[in-house]
Amino acid sequence: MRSYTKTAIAFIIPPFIILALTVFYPMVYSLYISFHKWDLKSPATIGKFVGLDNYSYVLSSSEFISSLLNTLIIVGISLPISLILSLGIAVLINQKFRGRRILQAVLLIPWAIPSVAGGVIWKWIFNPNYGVVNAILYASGLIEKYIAFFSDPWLARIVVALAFIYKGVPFGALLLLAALQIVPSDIIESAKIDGAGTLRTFINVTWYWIKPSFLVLLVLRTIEAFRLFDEIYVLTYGGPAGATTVLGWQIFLNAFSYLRFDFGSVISYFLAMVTVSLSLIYMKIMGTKEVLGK
Amino acid sequence: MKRRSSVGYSHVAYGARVSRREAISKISAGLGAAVVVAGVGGYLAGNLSAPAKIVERTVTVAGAEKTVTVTAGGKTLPKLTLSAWTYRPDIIESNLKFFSTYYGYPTELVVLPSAGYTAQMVANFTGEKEIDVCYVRDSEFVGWASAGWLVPIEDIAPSDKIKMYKQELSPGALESMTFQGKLYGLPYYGDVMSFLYNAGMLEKIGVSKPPENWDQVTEICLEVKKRLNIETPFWFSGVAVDWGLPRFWQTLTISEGGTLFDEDLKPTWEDKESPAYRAMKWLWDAINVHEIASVKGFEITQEQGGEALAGDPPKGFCLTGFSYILYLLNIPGNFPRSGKENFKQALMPGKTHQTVSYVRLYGITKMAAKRGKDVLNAAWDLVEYLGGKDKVGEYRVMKRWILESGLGFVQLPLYEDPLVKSNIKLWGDPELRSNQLKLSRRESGLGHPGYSEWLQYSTKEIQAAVLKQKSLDEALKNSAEKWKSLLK
Repeated sequence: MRSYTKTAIAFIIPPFIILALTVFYPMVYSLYISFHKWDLKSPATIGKFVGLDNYSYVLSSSEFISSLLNTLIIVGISLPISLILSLGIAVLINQKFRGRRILQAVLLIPWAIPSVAGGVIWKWIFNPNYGVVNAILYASGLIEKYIAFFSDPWLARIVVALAFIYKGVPFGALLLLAALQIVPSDIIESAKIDGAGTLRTFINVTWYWIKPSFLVLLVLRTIEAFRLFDEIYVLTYGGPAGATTVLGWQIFLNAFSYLRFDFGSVISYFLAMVTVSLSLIYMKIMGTKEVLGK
Repeated sequence: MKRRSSVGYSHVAYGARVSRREAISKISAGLGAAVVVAGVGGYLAGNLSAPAKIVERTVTVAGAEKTVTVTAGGKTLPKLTLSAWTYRPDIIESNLKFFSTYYGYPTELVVLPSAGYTAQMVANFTGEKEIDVCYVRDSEFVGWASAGWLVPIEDIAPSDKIKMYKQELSPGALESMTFQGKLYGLPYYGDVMSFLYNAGMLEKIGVSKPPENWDQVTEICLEVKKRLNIETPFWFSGVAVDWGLPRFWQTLTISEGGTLFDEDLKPTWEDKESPAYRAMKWLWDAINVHEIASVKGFEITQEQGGEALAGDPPKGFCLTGFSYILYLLNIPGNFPRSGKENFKQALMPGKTHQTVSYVRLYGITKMAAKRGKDVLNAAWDLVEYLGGKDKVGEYRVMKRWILESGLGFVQLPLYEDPLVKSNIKLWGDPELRSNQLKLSRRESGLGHPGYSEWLQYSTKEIQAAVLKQKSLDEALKNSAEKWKSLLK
């Protein structure tokens, strides 16, 4: 038993060191920065302890509040649609039909495309002068002149949400498909023999089995949605009129454009707290412990 | 800034039927392109006869796994690393090869994406990555210099050289590269906000000369709109990443004899009679009242705006920070319709015809300074070769950029260079470019460390006003308040 423990420790130490250097140290260091003045444009003042001043300044600023609202709007649009679509596609490709394997493979493509490359594709699709969406809408007589999607605050938010949904749905669908495939077929058959319809069978039987996977997906997608950055970087740069300036973009602006690492760290920690809190709430609501039998 | 010139490349489809006029036009364009190629070829051949190289041999140091160059005196020359953004890395590589050949220093090029350049360089500076010379945008220059990331060339280069460059560079560019009284670099390129117009389109509506002031711009645009059925004849780029909107604002203000910030750096636009307020009102009216410009400009970069100028249908006017767009518009092969319209540059409309100048410079990093005096001196040699004169006293690299890409320049003697002048005549007017540079000023406020934050904020506010999310007065008030908060 003792040698087993030693072996375990020997295996754990190398990744722990790597994690400590690449994850824990930067986390602690950025926490430290968030309580100090860290304006790289004023080297003489760097490192001055300011207590909670950075937090009170940033969290009460209009830029932060508007970026928080933008984040909530985009998360609010994209998260439910993303989850519903993932579940729907998973249920669909769980059925036995010809070409199912090909469909599963094709489904992976959006997930495999890097976010930045995907963003560029969306940018072309919605281009105001020669984008295919404009061409289709115009040809079908739905619009009289081409729309500048990224110059309209709401349309820009919707396109960003669309890019986020497109990127994440395949992963979600495959995760839920894996869960669906472990649902015991005899239980489904029993439910049907007892007279349960498709919807009731899904709610009372299938959902019980896929609930843990759905929870995992919900947590992951929520975190991803709050951290949204790549799509903004490629599609809108936070515009128009700041409509897509989300928290992730605000961190980038503060740290790398304004060289205010202190403010960037504050927003990063706020974001981390939000995502951790949401994860805990989800776990509580979904009753993970009961589901997992632990 | 990603498009390559394809001068010398014939895009006439074999077997395609072309009219006589088209044929003459294409032959002329081809001849023009041939002259450009011949000029560049001859110019580079000149480079081959540059001074004899000082390199004795290049050896690889075992263990250290790096190549060093040893001079005849046995001195080891350091390897220099240049970081640049993704505009024509082929030319940059080639320039570095020439530098290595004639100066002896081994070199390495680190190419970073244009849009992410600032973020990656900030990471490189804070992580102290071994980069000795880097591209610097003037909008970020003060921030980087005040962070101590850049070293003044004035502390490294011989004083007579600094004196010479101060005489030969345009005053606006010099000011943009100076921090706390010291010169920090030499220009990679420099340009002015330029007013481009479609001369053929103006002829069609009976206008023989370009507009002299902004009211005339509106009038002509309305006429173009009415008679040629062109929806929005005026193009501008207001995309957030370019900071095109505040720069547009600065340009209109300067052209009317004002500045955005006064001598004490106080915002001037709170006074509704100020040129700064009236400038922004002109843009608001152009989009929302006269409908001669479109909010599509919020998602179009400057180069895309240039491309739209030659689009289908072509546009009438464009205000752009890249005067080389005229090169792209008039030399066939750059844009699909390049060379098919007659695009020209005019002096900036307005009372003073003044405009905004800007510069991109080569800066020497603190990392080079940490590596010692030899590296600093070597970095200066590289900066001077790339942005200044070579050993025979020629602005060789800048000339190459002009000849091959039409980039703007702020080295005043080059405006008198016969090869440069004849090259520019193929697609533009060298005299007018020179005159516009003389009538240019640095953006006011640029020297303040909070300027880039204000640019970002103001872009958002102006966009909101133009999109009628808030009134223009409210947006301008917010912009003024933001600036005041940054001054504290």
